[in-house]
Amino acid sequence: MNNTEEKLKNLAAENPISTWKDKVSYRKENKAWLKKSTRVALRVLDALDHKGWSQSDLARELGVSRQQVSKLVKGQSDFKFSTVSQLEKALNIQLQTILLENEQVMTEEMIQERLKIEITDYHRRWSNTQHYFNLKNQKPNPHLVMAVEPSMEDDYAMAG
Amino acid sequence: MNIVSIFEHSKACLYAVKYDDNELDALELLQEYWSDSDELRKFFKQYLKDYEAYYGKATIINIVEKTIDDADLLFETLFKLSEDESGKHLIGFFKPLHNKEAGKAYSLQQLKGYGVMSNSFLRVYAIRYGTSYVITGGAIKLTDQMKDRKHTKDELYKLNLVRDYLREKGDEGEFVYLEL
Repeated sequence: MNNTEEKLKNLAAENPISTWKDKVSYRKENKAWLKKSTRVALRVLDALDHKGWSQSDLARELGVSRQQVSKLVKGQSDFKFSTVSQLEKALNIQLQTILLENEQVMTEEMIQERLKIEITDYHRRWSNTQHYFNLKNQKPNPHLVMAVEPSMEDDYAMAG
Repeated sequence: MNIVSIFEHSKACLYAVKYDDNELDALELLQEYWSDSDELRKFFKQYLKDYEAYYGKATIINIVEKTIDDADLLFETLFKLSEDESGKHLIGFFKPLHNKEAGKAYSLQQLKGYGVMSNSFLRVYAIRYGTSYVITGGAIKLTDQMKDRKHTKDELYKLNLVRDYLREKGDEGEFVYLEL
C-alpha cells in the first residue's frame, strides 16, 4: 500500500464503516417474502393509477398516515394478513389467494397456450373423423368430431 | 464529501463516497434505490421508451421485478468479493468507464461495474486508486451515451468530482499503465 492509499485509508477511518454489507445480508436472508412484498407494492401502485388515486387518498381510505402508505409501496414491508385484506377492500383488487391441493395458478399466457393446444387438437380430430368417413365410403359429416386416431395399420393399408 | 470503508483487505479495498447532502453512502443509496418498487416504477414509467428501444415490450411490473432481482444479484456478487482476500476478482469486476481504455489501468481512472444478468442496464461507478476502488454512485443506463440522459450525466459529474477530490487529497495520480 503506497502513501496515497494510506491517505485514503486514513480518510475512511474518520467515518464509521458502511452498513451496506448488513443490508445485503438482510435482503438475502429475507429474499422470499421481499419478492412477494415487491409484487404487492407494484400491484397496489397499479391499482392506485387505475383508480386515479394518490397515496394520500389511499392513506385516508385505510385510516393510516401518508408515510405508512409510502413505506408499504416501497415493497419492503412484511405485510400482515389484515393489512392485505384492507388493501384488497379499499382498492377492490385481489392480492392474495391460498391455493388448495387441487388448485393451481394460471397466467393469461398459460390459458392462451392451453387453448391453442385444445383448438389444434380439435382440428386434428375433425380431420381424422372426415378421413374415417372417407375410408368407410360414408358421407362425410362436417359437424361430427369423433375420437378416432389413425393406427399404424391404416398407414400400411394406404401405403403403395 | 466523506469516504467510508466498505471493506479493506491488504490487496484490495473498497470504499464509497458519502456526499454531504446524504446520510447514506453511495453504495447504500444504490441498494436502497434499486430495491424500492415505488421509485423504480416511477423511473421506468418515465424512461419506458428508452427501455423498449433496447429490450422490447414489457410490463412495468416485470421490468421493476427484473431490476430488483438483478440488483440483488449484483450486491450479492460484490458481497462475495468482499470476502475474497486475494482481491483478484474485484479487479475483474470493474472495467474502464471509457471503452477505448479497455485493458489499461491507471490511478484515478474512472470505472464501471455491470449488473450480473445478461445485457444488464445496471451500472456501478467507481474511481481506481492504486489497488483500491472508491464507489461514486450508479445508474440504470438505457441509452448509448451517459450524456444522453440527466441521471447518467449526473453520474459523470460525480465521477469527475470524486476524481478531483481524490487527486487533491492524495499525491498527484501517477499515470501508470498496467497490463490487465
